[in-house]
Amino acid sequence: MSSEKISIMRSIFEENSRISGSIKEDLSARGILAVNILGSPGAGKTSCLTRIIDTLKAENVYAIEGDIETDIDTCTLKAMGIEAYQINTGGACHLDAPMVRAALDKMNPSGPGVLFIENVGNLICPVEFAVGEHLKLLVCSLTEGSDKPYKYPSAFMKADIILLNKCDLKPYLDFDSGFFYNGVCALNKTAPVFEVSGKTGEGFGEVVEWLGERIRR
Amino acid sequence: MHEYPVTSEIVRVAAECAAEKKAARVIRIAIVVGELTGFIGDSIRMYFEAVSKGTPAEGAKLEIEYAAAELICISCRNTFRYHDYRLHCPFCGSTCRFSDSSRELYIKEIELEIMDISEVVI
Repeated sequence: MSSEKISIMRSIFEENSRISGSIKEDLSARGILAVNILGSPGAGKTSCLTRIIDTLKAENVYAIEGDIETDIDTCTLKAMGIEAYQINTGGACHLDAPMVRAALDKMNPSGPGVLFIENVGNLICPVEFAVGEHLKLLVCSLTEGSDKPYKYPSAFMKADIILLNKCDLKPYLDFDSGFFYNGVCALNKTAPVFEVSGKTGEGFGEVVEWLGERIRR
Repeated sequence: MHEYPVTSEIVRVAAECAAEKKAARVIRIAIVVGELTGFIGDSIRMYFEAVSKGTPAEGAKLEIEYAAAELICISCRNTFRYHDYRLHCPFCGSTCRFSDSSRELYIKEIELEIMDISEVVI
């Protein structure tokens, strides 16, 4: 018996990233833009998504919903006429590329358009596990506090677009906008921040304009 | 909870390495956890015991090295540790970026028990 040391320097996300890359390639070939929606539980990811879908004039809209349990969100989307597929992770706190691959094999989206992948509510691992997306859309909300960028810097660094939700509650909360925006600007110079309200629908015109430009590309 | 899938991947990679080298078992796995990833070393260790059971990695020593959440100033290039909500350089006030190491999570080294002495390099 002897021992052998192997230097491998292998990222723990390598296998997931490989599958994510192949999903992205496959979706690009079909003319589908994939948007990974990230945010804490209760940030308003589904409310924002339904507002986006309502405002968006995309030819084909597909959705994959990730939740630990229940198909409540998928039922909401199906009621809107959207082709939606539910993934219940059964305890896992994020979606990963193999889960999304399996869902897409069942859905088989054909026409060009947009695929929204609503991740499990969590700001830690969904940021690290790519699921084949072209864009990461981060939903945060006024009720979560203005220190979110400082507490979860990775989520803000990796986002391509940020929605600051529940803006209709601004008069009732002590949200420090300056502190929030300073943090976002320090971490991410390119992602636009849109102030929205899933409740009133305010701000989604601009969000959809930004997304629409990327869907058509 | 967040650490379960990453621990499974560590065990999967170690078992794959052991099979490739026809090793009897895995003696040691060294990983590096960047603080910014949000993953907790102690939780990885806790899951490791359960996840590695019945695999060649069972009983292996798990060594965890932490890479501090370090900021690098894009102007004066000074580096400093991230704390107290400070995202700007304490020396010149410019914007900073997090070091790559603070954002990584990877397996650095795996030590295997080999039955026959042979020289194999990955």
